[in-house]
Amino acid sequence: MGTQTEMTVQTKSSINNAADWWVPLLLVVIAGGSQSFARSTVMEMASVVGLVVLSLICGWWLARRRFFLQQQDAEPDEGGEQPVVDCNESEPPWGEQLLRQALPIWIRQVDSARTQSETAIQQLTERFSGIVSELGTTMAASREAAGDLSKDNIEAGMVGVFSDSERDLGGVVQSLRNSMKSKSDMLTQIHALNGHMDEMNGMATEVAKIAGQTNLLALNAAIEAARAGEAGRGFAVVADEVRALSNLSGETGKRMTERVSQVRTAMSEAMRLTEQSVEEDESSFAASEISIENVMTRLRQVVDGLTKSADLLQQSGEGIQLEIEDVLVALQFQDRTSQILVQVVRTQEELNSHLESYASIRAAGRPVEYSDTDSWIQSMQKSYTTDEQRNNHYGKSGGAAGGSELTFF
Amino acid sequence: MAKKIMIVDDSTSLRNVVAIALRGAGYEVVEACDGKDALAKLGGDKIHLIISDVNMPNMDGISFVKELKKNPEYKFTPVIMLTTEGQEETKKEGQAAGAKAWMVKPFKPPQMLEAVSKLVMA
Repeated sequence: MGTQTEMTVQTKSSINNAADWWVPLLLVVIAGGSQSFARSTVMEMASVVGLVVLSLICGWWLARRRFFLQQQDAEPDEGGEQPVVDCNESEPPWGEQLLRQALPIWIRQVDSARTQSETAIQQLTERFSGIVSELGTTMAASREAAGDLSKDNIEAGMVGVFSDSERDLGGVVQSLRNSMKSKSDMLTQIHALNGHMDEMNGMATEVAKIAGQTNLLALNAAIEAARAGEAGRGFAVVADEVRALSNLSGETGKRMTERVSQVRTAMSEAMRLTEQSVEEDESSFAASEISIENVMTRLRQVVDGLTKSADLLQQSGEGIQLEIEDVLVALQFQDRTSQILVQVVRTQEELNSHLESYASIRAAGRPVEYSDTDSWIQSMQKSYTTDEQRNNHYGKSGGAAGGSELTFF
Repeated sequence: MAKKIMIVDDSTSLRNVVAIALRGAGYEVVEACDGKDALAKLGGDKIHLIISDVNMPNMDGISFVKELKKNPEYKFTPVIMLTTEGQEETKKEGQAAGAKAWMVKPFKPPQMLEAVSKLVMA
């Protein structure tokens, strides 16, 4: 860009140089030509000499003007402290013209770049904020679903549900075990009853035996009563009654033995059934216990897996949240660049407004008083808000500041 | 109940960044885009701390703090200046206006949260 401008200036300068010397030369040629064509009279000779002199004066004046302009270009505003008054030019200098046209374009370009970057960064931060917020919600939901493993929150979530279920099923197993023990106790009692039944059977046999002996005694008594004759008649009646009673006792003893036998059979059947039931219950209980244990083991594995994955999700989520927070911190550069660009645009606008006012003054035919460059630069320097701007101003190295410098008052 | 913190900054992205850090730490956040907006938003629930930028349109941070300190209700509300400006002269202006701390952007959230926690507890 600079080279192109230089070339344009050089071309312009050589054209101007050529014009400086071509004008008198042309006049000399015209003068020489007219002399040869007009066959030289005194008047013609005088006019030729006049033209040559005039051409030399023009050439000298143009050369002097060129030299003056070159001197002005080479040493612009040496001191810069006093306002420069330009009262010779009716047209603004080339640089000023260019700046008046270029500055508004630069301002628009810089402002557009700043606005675009600001909008993009704003959208980015908003989207990242959204991600952080959604991540927080998801992580909280996962934490709630999986259950916190901390002791304070053991009742909540999946882990809590698992613990509750394990406790409830444990209760069911215990009640089954209690029921089994009751049945077993009952069986022991039935066995004891069976022993009593044997005793009862013995007693019934004993009764039958006593009845038989009593019957025999009554028979002897009847014989003795018959032998006694009339005196034993009453005794014979008693002996008959005793024999009748002994027969009755014998039958009762026989019935007792039969009943005891029936009860024993029934009890044996009941015992067999109860034992069978207890055996079935035991095997069913053992199977249930194994099934419950298997289900609980599988559930424990699932819950452990889910808890681990929830834990991993939690850790990853926290990691991502931290990463995004770091990204958001890095996006703070936008605030700094925005401030730098705003300051550049403001300075350009100010410069443009000065150039416009110079143009108005020049158009009104009044002399232009240029602003003092030093005070201009100082004012620009005061408007800096970051250390980068100050470093850049003095051409010092130093990019974006590290930041996070904290001072308590 | 969560402590309420006001962020005053003309940069929306920066307000977002500060708000994320503060909300993550359990604070409630109120946002204002410049000094005038901040003054207009005072007067509701108690504000426990204010984080303000310095260079802002309409009303800059230093003028805002001066105005804030004139209000008896907010005279003792701590203010942290969060700015790109790190020059001693400007820091002194902030201190004279009544700010309690000065933090240079870009800030690191843990450091900011530490400063916030210290000043909110004080």
